[in-house]
Amino acid sequence: MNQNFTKLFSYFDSPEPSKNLLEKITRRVREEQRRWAIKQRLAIFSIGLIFSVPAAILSFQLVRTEMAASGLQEFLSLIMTDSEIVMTYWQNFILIVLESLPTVSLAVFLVALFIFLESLKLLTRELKNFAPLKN
Amino acid sequence: MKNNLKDENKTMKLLISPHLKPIYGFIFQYVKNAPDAEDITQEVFVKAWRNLKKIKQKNFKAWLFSVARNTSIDFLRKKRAIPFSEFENESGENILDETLADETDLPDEILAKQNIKEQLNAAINKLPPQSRLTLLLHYKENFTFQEIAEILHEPLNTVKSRYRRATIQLKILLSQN
Repeated sequence: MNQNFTKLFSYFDSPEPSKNLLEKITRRVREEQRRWAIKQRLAIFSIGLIFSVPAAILSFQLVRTEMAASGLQEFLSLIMTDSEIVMTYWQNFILIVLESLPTVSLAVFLVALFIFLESLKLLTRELKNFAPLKN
Repeated sequence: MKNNLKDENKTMKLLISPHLKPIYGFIFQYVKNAPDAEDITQEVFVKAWRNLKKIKQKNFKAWLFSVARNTSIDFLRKKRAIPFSEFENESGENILDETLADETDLPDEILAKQNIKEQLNAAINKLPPQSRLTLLLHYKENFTFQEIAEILHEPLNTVKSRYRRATIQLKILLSQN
């Protein structure tokens, strides 16, 4: 490096940025961080929504089939026809009804339904947060 | 949580502030107006933050200048405010430039001039944009020719020959005044 040129360039006035530029940059980076986080959550909730819909439909069909096969309807119709017997042996009756319930498919259905509703709720919330950042 | 955010803000500012003025000054040389230079500077640091994990280059400063160069050129391209060839393409250079040699230092009399500061600023602004950037990157930011070539996306020999031409032009401009 030529010494005199080095000295010469020490006289050069570099333009000064405004005092609040650093603040503006940190604010924009923060905004970008927020936007990125929202995008990530939107992706997660969308995936949750996409997978929970067919899962809920399939598990609901399974619940219906298993309920029809379990004879639960016959037990429940007892309430209407022989309500006195049901009242007398209500503890046994409840146990029988519970035993005949298709618990696994019902649990799968409820979980899928829960994921669907939660994803929908959170997705709506995140979309509301994302809208002002988009502009 | 609030403390974390404050600490993160502090770290971010510590990372940005040493590079803020040089990057702003570099961008200013492209766009020549403060509001646009500020917008582009913001964009550059947002891009830097976005790609922080992806940076493979060891020299962060040179990488940042390279991002600033690309962002400025994109901005000018969109705006179409300047003849773009002025910044990008110097393939029409005289081949003799490659062998042009003037390694002599600046005469002391020029440095001794009373109004050297004003004269220098005026002379630098008269230089072609790429020559101006080469000199400023070399003397103000202490980049090597290799780093300047990487920042400006040009061959090393082009940068070297332009540097030689720019120093000669600058000497002539300063001697004339």
